[in-house]
This record gives sequence, structure tokens and C-alpha cells, in this order.
Amino acid sequence: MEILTVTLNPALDREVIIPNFQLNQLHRIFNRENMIMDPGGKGINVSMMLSSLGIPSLAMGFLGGYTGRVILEELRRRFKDVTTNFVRMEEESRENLAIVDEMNHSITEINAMGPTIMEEDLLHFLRLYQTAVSHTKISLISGSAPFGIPLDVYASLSKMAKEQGNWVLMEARGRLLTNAVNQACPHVVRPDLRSDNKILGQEVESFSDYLDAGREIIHKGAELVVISYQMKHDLIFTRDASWFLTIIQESVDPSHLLGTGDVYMTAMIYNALKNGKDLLATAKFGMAAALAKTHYVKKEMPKLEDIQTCMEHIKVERLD
Amino acid sequence: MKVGDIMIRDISAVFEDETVERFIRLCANHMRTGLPVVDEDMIIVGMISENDIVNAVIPSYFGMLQSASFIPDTNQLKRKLAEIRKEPIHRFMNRNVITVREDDTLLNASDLLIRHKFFSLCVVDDQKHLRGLVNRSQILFGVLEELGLEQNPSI
Repeated sequence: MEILTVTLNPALDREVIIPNFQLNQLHRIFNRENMIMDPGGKGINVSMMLSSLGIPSLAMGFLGGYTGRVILEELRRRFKDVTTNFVRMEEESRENLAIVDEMNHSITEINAMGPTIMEEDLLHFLRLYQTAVSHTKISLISGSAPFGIPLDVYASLSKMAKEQGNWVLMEARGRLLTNAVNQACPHVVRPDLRSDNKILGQEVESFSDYLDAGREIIHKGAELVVISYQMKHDLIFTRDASWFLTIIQESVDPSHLLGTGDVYMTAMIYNALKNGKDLLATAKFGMAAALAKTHYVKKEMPKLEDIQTCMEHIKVERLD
Repeated sequence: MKVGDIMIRDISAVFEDETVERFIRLCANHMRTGLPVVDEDMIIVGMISENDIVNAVIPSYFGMLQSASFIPDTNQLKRKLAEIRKEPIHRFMNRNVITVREDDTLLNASDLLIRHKFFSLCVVDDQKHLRGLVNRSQILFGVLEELGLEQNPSI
């Protein structure tokens, strides 16, 4: 097993498709396909997408209660290439419910609160992780952390993985990311900007704010930083240079952006495995995959030929 | 069909020095009756089951009585469990682990299951690293799938 993914706060994503959804009404569902149940959480998403590309991975984190069992069963049933090693706790894992009404173009979402992790479960996880990284080559640490987890946990995980010679990729936000970058900077960093425009605690607004943030993370020790900028652009930073990538001849449907970050990370891992570590090529392949993903409604990995097509729709400009 | 085609790729396990209490809680959360025991290198060193703990807390002659109604009082059980709850599980685990490998046949795995009266077996690689597990119902399901490929009974 070469690849390890970490999901500290997995979720069961449930989607119910109800045309003309109304409050105070009974809705019957006659088609099983209109009730979708997916294991979720950023690391798990990457493991599932790698599996659909035929690449095995080890998924780790915390699962709890009945919801945790459903997440695990679905993961096992549908993705044969994912090996699981989750710490099981008493409290329930998160569950997210979305009611999609394509007739009235509405989405009603109900997100349950995640569990609180007990100290003994955290210690157990850290020990399992330490054991796991001595066997893996690539570690992906992604997403949020549930209650009870200290804010330097990603720093600790990154440190352990780096010490064992892993190539560490991280997509996260807030203090979790800031602490990791400051204390044990991962090799690849993609700040998650979905909920706010802050990187390393600083608000980013102007183009130069973004440039400063990217260079700062490189300065802290990253070898590749990817920051998305105004939806149609990505800023790519390496130790030698930085680039400005732009999507051309394409209109991006914002409603299909769900899950593009996970596709991006999956594609970068895939490219690094298949074609070696040309960092600019890796990032460009990630962006092309994310662009290809916007042609799919569901949370799934685009086909390789679609990604190849999208490679031609990306313009690369060197900044320095 | 091989073990690797039907196995459950889950490597949940406990370490040798974890306590009996932790093991009991993990079993409850996992809905499992036993777990593999591994060292710090994920190499399998034993198996621990609820049965091993039960055997440790009730006097050995109860096995012969075949009925719990002979147990004089539950206090004895409580007292015994209180004594061992902080003990490391390696004191109670079974070190004689029967394992299979991914490229073993289903026939070989079922033979081992029947001969040793086990419900599940650990799947390991060449260096005995834990890779997953396989149980009776999966083997039956695997055989059924194979039958399905050969013929399609119209019942």
C-alpha cells in the first residue's frame, strides 16, 4: 500500500431527489436511485476516487456509531481497492442530508454535528498512524477535524509522515493548516478557500495578497503550493518559480464545483505516481481534472480522456 | 476464485499492550467478537476474542457445567473483571494464529475454517503484515458467485 488518506471527520452524505419539494407534504420516492447515500469527508473522497482509477489506498480516521457503520459498509461494498483502518468510537459520525429539487432549482441541506473525540481514541489513532506511515510513500491529510482534536494535529501527522519519508499533501484551512505549515510544512499545500478567504490567518483579497501567501508557504518548506483564484484561475508556486494558470474557452458551472478540490488532490497523486514529480505538470493535471469534474454532476472522478481534453483548455503563464 | 477477491480489506486491530477494558469497548463499537493483535510494525502476533476474556473471568469448571444457572453470584464475575480490566491483552490472547494469504484459494481457506472451527481468518502478506480478513459467509458468497458464472439456474 503506497497511499494513505486521513479523514478525521468522515460523513455520510445523503441526497434525496424530490421534484417539487414542499413543506408539510408527504413525498414518496418510487425510484431507489433518487435516494443517494455516499461515504464522504475529503480523505475518503480521495480514496474512493483513487479506487475508481484502480489505485489502492489505506483510509484512516475516526468512525462512530450507526452512521459510522453505514459509511464503512458503503465504502467496502463499492470500493474494493480501499483498505480501511478507522478507530471506532461510541459517538455518531456526521450525517449530511440534502434535498434536491430540480424542478424548483432548490437544495435544502441539513448537516448534523460531528462527534467529540475522546483522548484515548486520539492516542490510539496517532499510534496506528505512526505504524501506517512506515509502510506508505504518500500521505494525504485533508478536511476538517472534529471536536476534541487539538489544532496542531495536522502538524503532528505531517511531521510523522515526513520523518518516514512520505510525500505529504494537505488540503485544509484555518489553524489546522497554519500550524502544520509553520511546524512541519507538507510538501504540497492547497489552502481550502471554500468557507473564507484566509490563508495563514491573513485575509487575501488582491492578486498580490495571493502571491504573498503562496510564496510564504513555499518559504516555510513546501515544494508545491496551489491556490485557486477567482474560480477560473490557479496560482502555482514552487521553489523555483510561480505560474498563473487560466481556464480558456470554457464556462464553468458553479453548481458542479462540489468535490473539485478532492478531484484536484486525487489527480495530483495519480500524476505523481504515473509520471514522476514534475511539479508544474502535476498541478496542471490537477487543475484539468477539477475542470473536467465540472462536467459531471455527481461527486466522481472524471475519465482520464476527459482530463486530457481539459489539459488543452488551460493556459500557463510564468510569473517570475 | 482467490481469497483476495472476496476478503474484507479492513485492518482494524489492537496492540499487545492495550488493556482488556479498551478491547471490550472496541469490540462493542466494532460489533465484533474478536480482533487481531499486531505489533508496532503491523505484523500479526495473536488473536483476542471475547471468549478469551470470558474464560479468564469465570472459573474453568463452568465450561463443563454447560449452564450459567450454576454460577453462584455475578459478584464473582464482576470481581474478576475488575481485577483484569487494566491488564494488557497479550496475557489473554491466542498466539497460535491461523492465517491465509491473498493468493490462497477459497478451498484452502474453507478447509482451515472448518478444521479449526473458526468463523473468520486473518489475511496477511509474506511478512505477516495484516491485510484484512475473510469469514465463512464471504467464502460461501464467493462460491455462489462462481456458481453463477458457470450456470444461471432459473428458479
